[in-house]
Amino acid sequence: MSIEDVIREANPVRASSVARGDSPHAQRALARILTEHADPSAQGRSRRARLGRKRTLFTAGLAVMAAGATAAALVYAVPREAPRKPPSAATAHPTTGEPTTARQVLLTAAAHVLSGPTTGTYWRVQVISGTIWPGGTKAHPYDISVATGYDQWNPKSPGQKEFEITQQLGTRPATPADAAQWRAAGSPTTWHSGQFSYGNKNDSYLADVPWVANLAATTVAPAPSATWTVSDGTLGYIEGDEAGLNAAQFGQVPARPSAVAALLRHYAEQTYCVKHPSSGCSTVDQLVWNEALLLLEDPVSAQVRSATFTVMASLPRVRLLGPMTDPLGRSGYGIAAGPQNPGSKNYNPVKAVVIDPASGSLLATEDIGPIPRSVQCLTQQYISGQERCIGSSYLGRSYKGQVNMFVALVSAGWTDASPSLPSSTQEDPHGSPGLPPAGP
Amino acid sequence: MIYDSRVRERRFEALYTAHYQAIAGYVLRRVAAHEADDVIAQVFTVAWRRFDHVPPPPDDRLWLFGVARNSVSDQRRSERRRLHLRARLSQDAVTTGSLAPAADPSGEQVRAAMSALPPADREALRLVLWDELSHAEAAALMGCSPNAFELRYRRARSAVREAVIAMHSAVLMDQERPVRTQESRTAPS
Repeated sequence: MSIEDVIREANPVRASSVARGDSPHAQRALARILTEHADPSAQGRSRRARLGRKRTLFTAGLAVMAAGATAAALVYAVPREAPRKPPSAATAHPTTGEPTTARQVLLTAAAHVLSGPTTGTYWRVQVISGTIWPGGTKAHPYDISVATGYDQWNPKSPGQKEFEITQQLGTRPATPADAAQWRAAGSPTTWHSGQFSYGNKNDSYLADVPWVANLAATTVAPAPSATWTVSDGTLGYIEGDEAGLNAAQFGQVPARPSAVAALLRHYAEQTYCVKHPSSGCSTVDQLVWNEALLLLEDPVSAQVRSATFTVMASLPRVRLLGPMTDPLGRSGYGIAAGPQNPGSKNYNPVKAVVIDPASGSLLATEDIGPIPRSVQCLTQQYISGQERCIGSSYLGRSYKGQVNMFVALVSAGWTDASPSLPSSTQEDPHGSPGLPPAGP
Repeated sequence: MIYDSRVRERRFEALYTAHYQAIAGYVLRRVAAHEADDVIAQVFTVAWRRFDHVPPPPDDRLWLFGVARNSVSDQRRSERRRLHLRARLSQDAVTTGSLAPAADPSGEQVRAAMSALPPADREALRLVLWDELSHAEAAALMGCSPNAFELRYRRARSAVREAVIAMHSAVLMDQERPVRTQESRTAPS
């Protein structure tokens, strides 16, 4: 056997184990692309995306929203830096009692934006993101939470190294109620995400490779890993489907609310969906809302952040969900901006934004709503075009107020410090920029 | 050229069906399996949106690999997009396993040897031997000249060969030792 054959044998994903283009799985994905390609919510959401970074793992805390209810505060093992504001509920709402409208919360936030350093060597953004998965059994259904911390160091100057430090934060039962079920199930130390398979071995899709991860109530976070790429100067985005902005460009963002509104609207109007509206498209207002959330994480002045809250307060259909505790245990108010996922029939969670009006800060975004059965079934089988859930051994819960994913903003700001990098830090093997080969 | 929209859609379906498996494999080899569907969908969404820019066969395949390369890169830079995309795409909950095959020790050794290579050298091997691109295609995808690619590929291949031989002899020695022990124990009897 030649060395090339040996390497071929080591292919972790053989072509024969990948779904074919004419498989039900692929064809359904195709149908989704054709019907949703103009879905603005894709654009609106992806914009939030670019700023963020990589993946990881977990923890689980969930904030349960509630008019009254509250939430299980989870303690994240990992973030080492203090949150931007102390999570003290006492200081959060010192003045006139509970706000009764989203507009009140947002305008209060606009009046209390704190300013930090206005420049530095790096624009540093730390977030913790998590997703909730079914992990229990029929007798003991429970959810597990998988969270990852991302610590991103974007150099102000292009040509310098940009670092991303990633740390898996553990895999745990998602809430105390889930933990109780998990214990009742015998406190298993691993969990399976399930797998996706077709009717027979010859048409299997990774059927032999279940995803197994360690599961423990108190998982010690593994060491962080880090990668670097050479920065082109991009520090953030206003609209995720458009080019990013550098420090100088963010410095030119106007500080008057009307000017910020005009800027966001201008970006929204460049999106594919607004230019090619279809039934699934987000409105300009919805896009502006999402852009505002992105701008709150960008290197703009305190005045611009304040104006951004004011713009958010002016949008129609913005509503107050109530007091909420974010996944890091910080107190704030949950606000939503109307339907964000117009194209989806089965799964339409509330896109909650947790804002702390006392410090004028965005704390987290969360998807809240019962996780439908179709999402819970992670092990599906297709036989003769019919899908069947065979994942009876991986059951989760489904209830009102369920958080099924979150992104908590730990901090965003300028710093002259240098990242503390693990010795394993390496160049991101996929990080070199490249464009598709030029077409004719 | 103006295409009737349904003709356009059919042409896209043909492109998708023909190249899905290759692109899905490429993506699955580079991102965590539970994220792969989102990235694959993104590749083809880009192709659909820019369909007028997709070159005719046989160049369409490499064009798709170029988009896939960017999408993988982008995905790795952008966890949050994955989270948000998942909300939209996961209604059918297609979630797959990780790529860590547990019962494949020899493959594990080869992959370990590959992971010790410089990233670009490793990618040269993957593109040719795992993704089944020609050397010319792989060079184009990596944005280097055919000569530079050839150098990189040969260097990487040699490095893995040496590493595998070294590991193999270590394994043989480990296997031989207990045999000898047993022989020495049983010999006197």
